[in-house]
Amino acid sequence: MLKLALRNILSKPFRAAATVLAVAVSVAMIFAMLSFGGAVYEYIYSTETCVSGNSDIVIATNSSSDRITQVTEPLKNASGVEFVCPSLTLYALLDGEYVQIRGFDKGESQLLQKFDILRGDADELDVNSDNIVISADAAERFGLDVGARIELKLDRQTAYFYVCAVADKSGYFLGDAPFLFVGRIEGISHLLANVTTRRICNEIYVKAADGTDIDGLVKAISEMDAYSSMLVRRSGDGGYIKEQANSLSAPVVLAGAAVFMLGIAVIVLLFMMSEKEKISLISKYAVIGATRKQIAAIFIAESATLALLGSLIGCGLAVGVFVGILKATLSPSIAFGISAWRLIVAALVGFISAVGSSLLPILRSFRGTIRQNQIDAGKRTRVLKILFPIFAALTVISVIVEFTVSSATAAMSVVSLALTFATLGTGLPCALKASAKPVGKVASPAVRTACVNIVRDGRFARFAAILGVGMTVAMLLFMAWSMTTGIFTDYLADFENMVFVTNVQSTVDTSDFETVNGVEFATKIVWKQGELANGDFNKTMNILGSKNALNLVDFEFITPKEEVLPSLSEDKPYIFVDIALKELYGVDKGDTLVLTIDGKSRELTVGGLLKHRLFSGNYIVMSEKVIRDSFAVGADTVAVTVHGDVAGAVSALREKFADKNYYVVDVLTAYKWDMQSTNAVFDLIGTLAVVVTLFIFAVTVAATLIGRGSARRQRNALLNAGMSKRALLRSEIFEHSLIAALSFVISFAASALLTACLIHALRLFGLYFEFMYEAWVAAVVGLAMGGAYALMPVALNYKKGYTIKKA
Amino acid sequence: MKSAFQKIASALLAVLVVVACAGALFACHKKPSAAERDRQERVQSVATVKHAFLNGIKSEWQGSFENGQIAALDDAGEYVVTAGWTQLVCDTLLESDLQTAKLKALATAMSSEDGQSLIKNFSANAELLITLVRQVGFTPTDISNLVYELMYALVDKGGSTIDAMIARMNEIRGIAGIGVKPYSNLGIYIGNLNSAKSTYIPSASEREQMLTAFTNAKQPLNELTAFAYNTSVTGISDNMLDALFGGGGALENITDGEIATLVDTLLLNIADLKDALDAPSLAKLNLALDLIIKKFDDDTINSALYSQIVRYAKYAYSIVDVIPVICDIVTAAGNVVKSDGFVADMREIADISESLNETSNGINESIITAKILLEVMNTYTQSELKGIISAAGDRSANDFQKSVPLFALDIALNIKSVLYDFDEDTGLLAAHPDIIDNESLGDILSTVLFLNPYLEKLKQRYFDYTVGKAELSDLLFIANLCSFESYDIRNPYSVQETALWYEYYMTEGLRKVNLVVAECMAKATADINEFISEFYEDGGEIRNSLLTVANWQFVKVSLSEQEAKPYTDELIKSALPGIVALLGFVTGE
Repeated sequence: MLKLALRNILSKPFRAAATVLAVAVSVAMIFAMLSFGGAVYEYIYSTETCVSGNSDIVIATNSSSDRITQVTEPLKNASGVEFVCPSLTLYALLDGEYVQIRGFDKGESQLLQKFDILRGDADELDVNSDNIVISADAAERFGLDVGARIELKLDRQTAYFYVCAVADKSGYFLGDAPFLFVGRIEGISHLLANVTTRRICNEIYVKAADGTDIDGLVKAISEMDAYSSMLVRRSGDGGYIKEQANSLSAPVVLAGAAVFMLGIAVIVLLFMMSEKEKISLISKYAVIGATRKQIAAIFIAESATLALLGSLIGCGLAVGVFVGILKATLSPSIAFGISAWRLIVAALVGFISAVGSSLLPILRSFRGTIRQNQIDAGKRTRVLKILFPIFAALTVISVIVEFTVSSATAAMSVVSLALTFATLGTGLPCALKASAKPVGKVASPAVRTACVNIVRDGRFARFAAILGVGMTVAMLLFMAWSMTTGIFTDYLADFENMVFVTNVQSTVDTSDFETVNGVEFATKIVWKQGELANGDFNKTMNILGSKNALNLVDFEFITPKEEVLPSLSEDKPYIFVDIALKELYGVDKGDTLVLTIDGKSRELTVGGLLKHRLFSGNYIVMSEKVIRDSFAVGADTVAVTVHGDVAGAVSALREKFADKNYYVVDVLTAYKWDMQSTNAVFDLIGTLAVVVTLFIFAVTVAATLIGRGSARRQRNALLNAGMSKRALLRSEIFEHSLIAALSFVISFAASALLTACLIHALRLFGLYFEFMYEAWVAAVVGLAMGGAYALMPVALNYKKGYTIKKA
Repeated sequence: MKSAFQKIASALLAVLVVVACAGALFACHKKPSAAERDRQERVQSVATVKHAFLNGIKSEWQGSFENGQIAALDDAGEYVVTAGWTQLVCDTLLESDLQTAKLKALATAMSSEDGQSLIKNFSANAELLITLVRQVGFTPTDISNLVYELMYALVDKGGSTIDAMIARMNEIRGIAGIGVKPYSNLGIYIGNLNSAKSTYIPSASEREQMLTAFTNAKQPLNELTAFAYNTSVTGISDNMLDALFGGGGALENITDGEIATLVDTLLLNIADLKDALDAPSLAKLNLALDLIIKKFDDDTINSALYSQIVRYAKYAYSIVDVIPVICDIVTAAGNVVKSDGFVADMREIADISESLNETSNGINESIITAKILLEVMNTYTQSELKGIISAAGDRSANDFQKSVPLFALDIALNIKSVLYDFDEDTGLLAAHPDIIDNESLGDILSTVLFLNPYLEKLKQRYFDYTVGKAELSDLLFIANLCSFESYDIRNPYSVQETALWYEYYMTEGLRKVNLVVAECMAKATADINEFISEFYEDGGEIRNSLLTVANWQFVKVSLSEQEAKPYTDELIKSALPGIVALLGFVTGE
């Protein structure tokens, strides 16, 4: 039996190879989509915890506390503390550019994170207090290498450091923006004041012993005299990291579901591509006396062999390509875990779909005679004709409900997404045949032949379904990329004229800033994160704590401006939130929400609704005084708006306050640093979109070639009948072109609807956005795929395979 | 015709020749490795340091003179000796752990205008060496390692360095046509080194003993050097107020809490030093310092840097035993700084000190000192303090150098007697004449104010005299300043018998000084302990005055002498003016 199965496989090696490849690629696609969210979480987690490493608790100074602290005996001896690691981080200027310099006490530099050293010796950190480790990126940026001497300036203090090692972008250096230099507290303290000392720090990292109640320890530390005015919190805020990862990966995860389904569909269609041949072969086996069991065993063995091979190669491809992409786009140094269960699921889905779909022709052929089966094939076309209008009607209904019933929008959007793809899958074959009929009436024999083939031969319907659905999925992936990038970066344009001055004490006088040339307006602001909750949700929000916040960013007023502005300027205890909260959770003016800042929770009333794409709507506007009164948190930033030359104003501010040790940076630069990890995720999504599109195209090509392989006799017959090779090639080009054109037109149209559904579906992830659609992105993707598909006959030199043989 | 074999052999030979040539060329053009390049840079930097140093001393001197060029110098001998010692220092720098870039920076700094002017008058500006290396960015670790390595090299290679210098000078003297002046100068230095050789070059066993002592004392020596450099760099010993309030940096507008944190961490560093200098470590350190001083304290090492290091070693030697006590006292002082309101007061004083006259600033300093003194008294019981003083007295009884800290303290406590109760007829009037007589107080004063500082100068001047750079009258003048007569030392030799005259002071003279010192030390410790009793005595005059001063408000206006009289009258009753002066002396203000 196995021999026969292997003979069948080897008799058509090209088809077998193409089938294996298609299964492998589908498995890889499925794995990539299943693993995407996890990888993004892992990356965000690594970047968010790069500073705190393996610690559990961080004690940090803030604008209302002293700027320095030290490890006290009560902390060291506190119950449940495994180790305590003080760290001093300062911002200094190197060649006029801000760098972070972070110091540890002797022997403690790798207590929280390990260095991944490329050159030099990190142990030199313990030899001399002026040695530092820098990242490879910093080395390149400043033209430094091991042994180099650098001069750092902070206010009137200057200190010299020596590069003892260059490290890879991992550990502490994952957050290498602005560039991070790691050294010793003793050396760095000289930049702090005119003293050189160990132990002084502005952050203390605490590692709790196994089994310790972390929250209890946080509370105990907060109550210690030395740290009562400081921020004591868990090192890695799991909730925030999860939210961040979810919001970044949500569009792709949704589009990934389509990729998942497409992968299964491709495998099914692929195995059904040679249905006719299989039925014919089954007839032959039946004629020579093979039992049904034997026939089934032969075909199951054949398809299982191909599926197993495809799944195994797919697993290898998945791990290699996916991890390769992660390393290339996110970080080469993070050891991304490969989830065994996801790999098994992907492989099983590929294997079961392949074997399952290969059983269909067998079951069908067992039902009746060959003649009856031929008749059934015709019925299948009719089935599509019946299914298409049903799916289309359901899609219309679903979309109408989605767009009209706001409470059902999110849930129905997923149904709409699925139904739209089903409509596309069933409608494209019908549309192809429908369009081929009138076109076939033209005079050109090549076109007429092509159109006749399209109408008669079921494989073209499958090509159209695969290409059309694949093209739509690819468009959706690119839209997800464009959307994610837009969501997280578009609002930055509003900040191009703004400068942040941080490291200020809460008592700073902002009028001094307005005397600087180029400065238009300056206001104190609390710019930090807090948790906002009611019974339905709990979200990490960015707080803009300033009565002048509405002058800084151009908000749209949902609640009338006349109501919002006085409340804010009069320091009334209100918070103002984005309309997203209303759309997602029904939050409205007058509602009471619980806001938590630095571990302190207070109930506050919603004073009104605003609208802006800022932080994807995850922002709260409130008065600085309200924050100070309610949470004892003072302003830590002065936001300065500038007219004209921003760089000039930044320089002027730095010069004017040179003796104040303010940290002056334009907002776009600050966000460039802040967005570094997010940008890496954008790169990942983009690369994944490109790779999955290439995968989709590869399986489409493989399916086409497999299907075309079964029509060899038909082409020979045409050549024998006198058709020239040139005309046959033209005919095939037309077949491809028509499929490509039709797929593009329908996919392009469907992509707008699908993007709207995708945006609605994001509400399930707690994300609210207005409709955004980049038509040119979808057009470029569609045209590229369609164009490539149309040119396949020429690119793969179909003409070379035209040989006149007796059929 | 050539056979095929010959043809093949010729071709092979040709190929081999080409390959060999290519290999040789490749080898010639081989790029140096990173380590080789680093070594080259170090050698070059060290050569620059040597040149900068020699050229700084005399502009006509170069770092790498050939013998022929040296023969043309009038001061050829001096050049060879200076260059020889400089080479030893440079070799140590070359082999040290100093980063190459730091060596380069040092070379640049020494070649700069500031560096050159410092070197030109090094003996007068030796303190500026700290400023120079600070500007270059030397860390306490660098300095402590270098001091250790330089001292080690002096013991280990000092003898061979002297031999090499003598050999070179002899070689130069043998150059045909050498001038009279260079010839004679070389002769002087050869003679000088030859005579020093017997005492300076240690025997094999001595060398072994010294190197072992050094190795054993490395850790405490490094701790002490690092701490000393660190405090000099941080400026705490120069001006704590400026260090905390005026330095700029990330703690501009420093808060009271931040000052408390800073002071705390600095005090922890002091506690670390105290922990590092436990009794066994102190014994090792004493031994090593003693060996250095005994062997090299005669200024025969004509190296400004080495002389300076020996001077620092002597300073360290004199205080090393009391460092743990000083650490405790500084820690107690730190507790005052952290106490409520004190920082605010300090901040206020820092703000107004520039606008106040000396009298008002002096009163404010006395108030601070009174508060610190009371804190120290709260930290220690009377008997503990007395025990510390007695133990320190026992340790330093037989060595005038070590006696200086306690003698200085006794003078400070007797300040009232020294400044106000001086009687032209009877001399000094000690506060406790039953414990210490006026004569002994005078000896103590001579030791601290005259013998200790001027003996160093006498040694330097004698060396200058031997190389023709000083006159006999200079020698006599300095010897008089040492006030040997006050110890009843009568030199039997005249100054014309210079070597014997000098030798007498250095041996017999110092023996007699130490005898007097031993006698005075017992009295001084008893005197200090009596003062301690008075400090603790409830209702006693000193304690009452101390409490009164500590409770004064800071003076915020410049007071005239008349206006300040009530203050000064009260201060005179306490021992504070002396202690303030002593603190000022110790901290270099």
